[in-house]
Amino acid sequence: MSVGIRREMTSGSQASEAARQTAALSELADQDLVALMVRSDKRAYRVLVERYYRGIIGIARRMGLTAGDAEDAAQDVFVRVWLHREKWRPEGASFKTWLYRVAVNRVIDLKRKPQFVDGSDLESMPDDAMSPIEQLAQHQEFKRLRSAIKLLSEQQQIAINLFYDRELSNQEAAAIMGVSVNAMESLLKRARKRLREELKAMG
Amino acid sequence: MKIEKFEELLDQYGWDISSWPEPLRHEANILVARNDEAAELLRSLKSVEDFLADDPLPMGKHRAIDDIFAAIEAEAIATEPRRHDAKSDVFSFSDERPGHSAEPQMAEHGDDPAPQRRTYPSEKAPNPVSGMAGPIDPIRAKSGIRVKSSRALLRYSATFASACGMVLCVMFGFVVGVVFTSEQAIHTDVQATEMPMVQALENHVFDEASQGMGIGLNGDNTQKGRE
Repeated sequence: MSVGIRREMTSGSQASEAARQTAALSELADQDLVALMVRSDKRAYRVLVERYYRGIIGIARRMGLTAGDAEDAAQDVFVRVWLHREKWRPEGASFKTWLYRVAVNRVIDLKRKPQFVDGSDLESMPDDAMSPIEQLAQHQEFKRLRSAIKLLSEQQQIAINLFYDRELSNQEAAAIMGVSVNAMESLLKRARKRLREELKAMG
Repeated sequence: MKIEKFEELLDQYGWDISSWPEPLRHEANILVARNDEAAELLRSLKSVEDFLADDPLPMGKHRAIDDIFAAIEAEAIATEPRRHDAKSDVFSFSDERPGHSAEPQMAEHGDDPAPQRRTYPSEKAPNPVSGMAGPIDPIRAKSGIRVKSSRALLRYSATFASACGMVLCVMFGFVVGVVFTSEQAIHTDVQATEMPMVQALENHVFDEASQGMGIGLNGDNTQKGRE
């Protein structure tokens, strides 16, 4: 058997072995992956990143970042979590809660910078199934809603954005904000009331 | 159920009646069926809730995840030779970032067009964000501890040396003082023993001088005494 063929077979078997290990890692729960991450296992951490990347981007976009800024913020969050992995305490909050909390704080920081450009007015996600007129109407409605949300307090905005994130339950949203579920519901109630009044005033 | 109560429940439980508790859901549905204002309110708020729950994320995340791990590798290489700021925080970020290009660029794999974005590793940042206690990079921590130890050792050595110098000076001064004082004492003793002799000599000289003048220091040198 030639050396080239033997080398290809070796690399192919290594690739399949790596794929098998990645598949096995994907079956693990968060706490097991985090335990491996703390021991500097990058493959385990990649599984975590793939598991939560979409949610982190989603919360960043929902809180008003542009697509580019949301990706930058997500990268910042995941790089920082890796660099500080030794400080993870399993007896504390869940990894998901911790990760989202880091992400929310990062987005808040970015939004407080003087050079921040609010992306919520610039971008919307038009439905390609709609006609152009429908897309325009949807865009107008989107702008109206975002304008109303910006009138809420910061805590109310965060509560609304977390609550309506499909990746999060009520309990997780409350844990991310560091409040009880009752306090979260109270925030949501005031936020919805204010939103309703603002939307009514806008006509 | 009245419209005011209905609005309050909308705010409390959300604008999707199907998620309300069963008894309230039944009353609300009756109200919506009979009251046009309630029906319009529910319709408009339901569409708002659909907007809020809409997932804005485009597909094609895998390239961005590769960028994350490239940034991790770059950060690991960049932080190895640098000293560590022991007070860095997991929430600390740097915001010295390049601006985004204004030109939109078609992304691969069916992604939505997005502005060109440069990825970069995060530098250490100034301000922590409120939240949990900050972790420390172990590589930076070890080099930081070594630097701190050598500085502390140097400081303690300097302090010890100055203390020894002070003690030596004090001892030297004490010894010199004792020696000097001892010499003074000997000199004084010598003077003390010499004084009576000097006085005696002076008295004798005076007496002889005074005898010549008829004046004496004691009665014995009076004329009568002599007689």
